Amino acid sequence: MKKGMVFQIQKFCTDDGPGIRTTVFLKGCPLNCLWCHNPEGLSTKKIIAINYNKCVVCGKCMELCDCHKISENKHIYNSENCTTCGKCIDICKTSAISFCGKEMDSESVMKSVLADRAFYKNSGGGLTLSGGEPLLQDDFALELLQKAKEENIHTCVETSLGVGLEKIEKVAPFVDLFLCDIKETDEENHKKYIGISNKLILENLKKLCEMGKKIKLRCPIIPSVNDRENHFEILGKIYKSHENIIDIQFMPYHILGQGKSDRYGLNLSEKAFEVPSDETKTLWNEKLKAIKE
Amino acid sequence: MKVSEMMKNDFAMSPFARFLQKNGMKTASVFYKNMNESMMRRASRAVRFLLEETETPTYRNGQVVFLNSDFKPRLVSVNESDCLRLLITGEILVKEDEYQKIPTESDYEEQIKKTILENTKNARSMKCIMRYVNLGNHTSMNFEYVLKYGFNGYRQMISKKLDELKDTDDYYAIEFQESMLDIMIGMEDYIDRYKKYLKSIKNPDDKLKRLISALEIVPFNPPRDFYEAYIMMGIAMFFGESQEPNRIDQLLLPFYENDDKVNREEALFLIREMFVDINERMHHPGTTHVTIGGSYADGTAVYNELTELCVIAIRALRSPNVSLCMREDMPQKLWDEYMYNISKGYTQPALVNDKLYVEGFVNKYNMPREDAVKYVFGGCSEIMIQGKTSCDAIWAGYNMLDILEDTMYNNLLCCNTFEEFYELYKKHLKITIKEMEQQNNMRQTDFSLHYTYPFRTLLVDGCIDSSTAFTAGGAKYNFTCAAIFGASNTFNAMYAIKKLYSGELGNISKEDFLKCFANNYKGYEELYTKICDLDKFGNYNEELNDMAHDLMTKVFGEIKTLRGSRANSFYIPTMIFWTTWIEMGKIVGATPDGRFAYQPLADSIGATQGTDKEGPTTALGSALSIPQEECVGTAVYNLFLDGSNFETEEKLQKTQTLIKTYMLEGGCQVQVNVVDRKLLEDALIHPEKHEDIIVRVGGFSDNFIYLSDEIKKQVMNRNHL
Repeated sequence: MKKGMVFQIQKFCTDDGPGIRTTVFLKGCPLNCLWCHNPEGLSTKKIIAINYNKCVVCGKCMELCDCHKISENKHIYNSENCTTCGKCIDICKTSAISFCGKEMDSESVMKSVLADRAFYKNSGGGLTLSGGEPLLQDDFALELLQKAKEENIHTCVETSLGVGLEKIEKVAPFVDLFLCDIKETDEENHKKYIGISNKLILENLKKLCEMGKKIKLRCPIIPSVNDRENHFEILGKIYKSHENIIDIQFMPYHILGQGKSDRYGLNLSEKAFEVPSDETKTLWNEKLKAIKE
Repeated sequence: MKVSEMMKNDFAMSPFARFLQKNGMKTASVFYKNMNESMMRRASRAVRFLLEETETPTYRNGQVVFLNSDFKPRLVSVNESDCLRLLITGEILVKEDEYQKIPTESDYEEQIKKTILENTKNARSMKCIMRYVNLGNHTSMNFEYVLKYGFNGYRQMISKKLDELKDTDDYYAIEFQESMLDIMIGMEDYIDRYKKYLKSIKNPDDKLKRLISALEIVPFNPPRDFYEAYIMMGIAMFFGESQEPNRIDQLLLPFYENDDKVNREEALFLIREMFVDINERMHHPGTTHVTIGGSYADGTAVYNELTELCVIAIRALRSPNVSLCMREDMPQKLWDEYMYNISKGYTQPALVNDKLYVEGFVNKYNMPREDAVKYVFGGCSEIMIQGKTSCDAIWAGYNMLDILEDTMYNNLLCCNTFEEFYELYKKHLKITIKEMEQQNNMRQTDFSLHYTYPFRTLLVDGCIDSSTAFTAGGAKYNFTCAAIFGASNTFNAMYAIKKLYSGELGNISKEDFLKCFANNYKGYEELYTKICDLDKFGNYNEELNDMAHDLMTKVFGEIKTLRGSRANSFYIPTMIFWTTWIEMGKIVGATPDGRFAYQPLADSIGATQGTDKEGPTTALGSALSIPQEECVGTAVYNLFLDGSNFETEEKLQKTQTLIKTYMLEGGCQVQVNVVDRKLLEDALIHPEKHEDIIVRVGGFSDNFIYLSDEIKKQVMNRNHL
């Protein structure tokens, strides 16, 4: 049985595909989006997480390791030199420190997923794999998807498509719906904000269409990055380029993930983008409607 | 002849009555007139006296209900307690302070004075052990009967009964029937005077004219149209002092369908007025109930236009509680109205599982289906059969955590294995549940000796037929709702004890473990953290769910074997919480579920406050591990959802499926609350109590308490999360 690195199993997901779903978040991502709201999913390994609500700033972890410091009577954790030895977790008396990410076998993941079977059945929901980039752990993802199909459960994979085609081809037979993140249609911009070219992604999208898989596009709209008219236009063209692309969704930028940088001690070059106003969002919604027509 | 005229001759009454009469205590003197008569006879005459002598209520401009809610019967004498209580219970009370001032002229009078005071005091202090006591009673009027025959039907029923009894020596029964006639006479007098008063109002508007014209027919004759039926229900509720409109959508439907004068708008207005009136009468929420939807005996669904109007009418009101009986075929239109209500944070109606109750009564309590389908709720959610039930309700109840506390302190040290301890606890459950039966039955007998409830005796099915008071088992069904508290706390505490035995709590001795709770966790902060870190009920953990199933199967099973002291009386397990979960916590010290001493218990069959971290599907799944089909007295689940779950059509549909799935899988009752600003504010101060609040935006979701302070504020300022 395959094992994988999971950082969250989220129940009652209503945004990750049809019906009521359980989303399993797999660690590791080849991209580096500046607006990432799940930065704890970037690394393929488990990392340290601090729950500042529980920390009483006793200083025990600071005596043990330089990664933990006190500044202005606050616990500051920096992951840069962290070896994730976990000794600080053992010493913390208030369990404020824990691992984010857990190595799990597919059976125990599926046990948790299947606990909600009745909810899937009545809503047409099922399992969604997300991340990170779930297809980085392609063998593990495959096993989960196979098991879900054996149990007759609807499957989605949310992917950036920033992986080798062979990984996509491997899992595709067991996926009912791909949720494909198309973040930026301009190649230079893609490199600038996401770290790699978008060629592979768009190429993979085309191949996926040809495989006959159903696809829903998920497009983060980030002010000053891709809220351009011609980005919307190209997205519209992509959406209409193939009958297998059945839906498109805009995901307006939000900052709910911002506190995570402290929680996981990540030195993110956290560029704060402007949070779109309700009016702006309505405007984008109209554009989306126009695309769908 | 009026009762007051019967009381004119001082020497046609007992010395007790004479003493009371001399000192101006008129109602009490009627009650003590002839102590050789049965309690019901004496109480009914006193009630009749009161009806004949008190002022009728005043009319409030624009009033459409029978009586406006600010009406309270006037006090008869300063020495007597309020008359409303007499009307309800048939009980005479004296105001001790005032009463003590009454001078006496002889040792004999002094003795009379003392005896009367002792009598009323004893009525107030029925002996019971607080650990198990159930207080309070719910009932519902036999609306079906009065809507069909009017109160005059009772007159005929009583005459028939008296005919049957006239050649027998069953004087007790004869007296009982005569006392029911007294109630009839009193009501006739009262309604008559009220009508005269209404007619004396100058320049009556249409509403008043309609009320007067309705009172020409009801309550004594059967209603002919929608409004008359509506007033009939109001009168029955007033005299029965039971503001429980029950299955109003079924009861009023034939009148609605056959009345050209009433349209949808008017029906909604009237139902809303009734609910508003009940809301004003109740000083606190949660003590009366409307039950709508559900099934007819032939298996077809009840859902009709009035069902829908009730769902609309309850918006933004705290009382009455409305329970919507859900079947798989509940129409989407009704679902839409329901979803609208909960999305706006109205929390009403609660959704209940029709099949669970009907099949539960038919299969587990051998009840005829035509009665079973007419289950209704009283008060918080106590179960009854419409018009046929006396139901003793919770206030206190059976506290599983309290039992565990004693098992823990007495037996933990001597039990070598967890299994040994666990079995011992189950043994204690059996013993204490049996003891609860004995305590309750004694109290019920005691209650029936002091209280007769004359109106309810008249208006609840079975009493006249059996010539037995409502409180003494006269009703067709006599339920005792045994309310179970602290279940979720017990699962968590038991799980922690299991982990103590398995060593997963670290190297801690049993003595230290016990000391930790005896000291309310003080000095044991590390153990506290470890206990808090253990999985809690409401999250995905099969061990915990299995334990919940096993313990509740045991508790429900034991309770079902209990029999009450009243005729055909049985105990029904319930898990309703009202506000008592706070009170019940006050008698239990710190416990191994991470709960500090005297803190509240869990407020529903779900997780203890804020410990369900994995979202609603998992939490509901845990609740389903409790065999709710064995808990026909209702098991309440309070579901908290954030506003984003209601934002779009798609999400509404998914949320509806969430709730429906819980019910179809065997959930008993669910009440949906929308996470509001107040709750979030509390989460800022006590994050440890609110790990369950999940914030969702697009595909993103996170526990509220983990967000950065800045973002928490932003989230709070949004209308929807």
